[in-house]
Amino acid sequence: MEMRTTSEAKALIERAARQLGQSASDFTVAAACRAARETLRQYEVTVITPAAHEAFMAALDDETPSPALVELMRLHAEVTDKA
Amino acid sequence: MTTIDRALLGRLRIEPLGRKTHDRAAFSCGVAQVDTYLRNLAAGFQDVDATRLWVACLDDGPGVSGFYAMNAHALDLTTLPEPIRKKLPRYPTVPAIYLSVMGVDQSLQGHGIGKFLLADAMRRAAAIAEQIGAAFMVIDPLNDDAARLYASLKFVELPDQPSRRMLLSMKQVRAAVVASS
Repeated sequence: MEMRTTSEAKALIERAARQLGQSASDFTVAAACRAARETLRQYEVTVITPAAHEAFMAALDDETPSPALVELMRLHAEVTDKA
Repeated sequence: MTTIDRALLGRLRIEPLGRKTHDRAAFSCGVAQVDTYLRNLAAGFQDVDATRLWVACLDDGPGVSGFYAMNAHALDLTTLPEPIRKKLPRYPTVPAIYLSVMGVDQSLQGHGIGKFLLADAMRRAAAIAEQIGAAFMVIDPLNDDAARLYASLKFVELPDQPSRRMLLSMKQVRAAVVASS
């Protein structure tokens, strides 16, 4: 893999890598792998963190569909049943 | 501005993506990551049963007018406090259906195909939930317009996510399907 970067980003990466006693290359690959695992994981799991508890409970407790949703599903039913 | 073109929507047929039957290369929705997903990645994900793609084709043509991808998903509720757990459908993991990617070809945008695909995905999700159980639909708005549309359908945005993510209970989807038929 070859990557283009800014001198600013390069300096930042090199500084962080030095702090951990790693080469910039090893540091970058490890960080990218972490990010890649996280990205793939997001397809499979949504982690409800404490900051999201309230929003989650609101989504859980609300069982009444919005008029807009009913209207959208009616449009779909009318268009597909006609075919 | 979107005006719903019922005649156009009636000409769409929605079917599972086939490697040989659909022309993925010509698809362009204007968002590079979505185009790349359909052209280069989707069929492979489907081959290993990681997701399923549904494509909308116009009349008898092989061209992809729009598509969406769905896969089995889960909500991790490990951090929810004890008193609330009793209210949960399950703990610590709740099954859900993730509508991961959706796109409409640029040549056909502005006629309501995106909304129609969303409705199709939701009806399909409700049917899947009847078969195997799933308590939520999960979706990631690509921009503010999408987030507003989803919010109008009562999707709730979750704070503190790596990317914007919204939820809707399957109870609401099911109730809307029942009310509309």
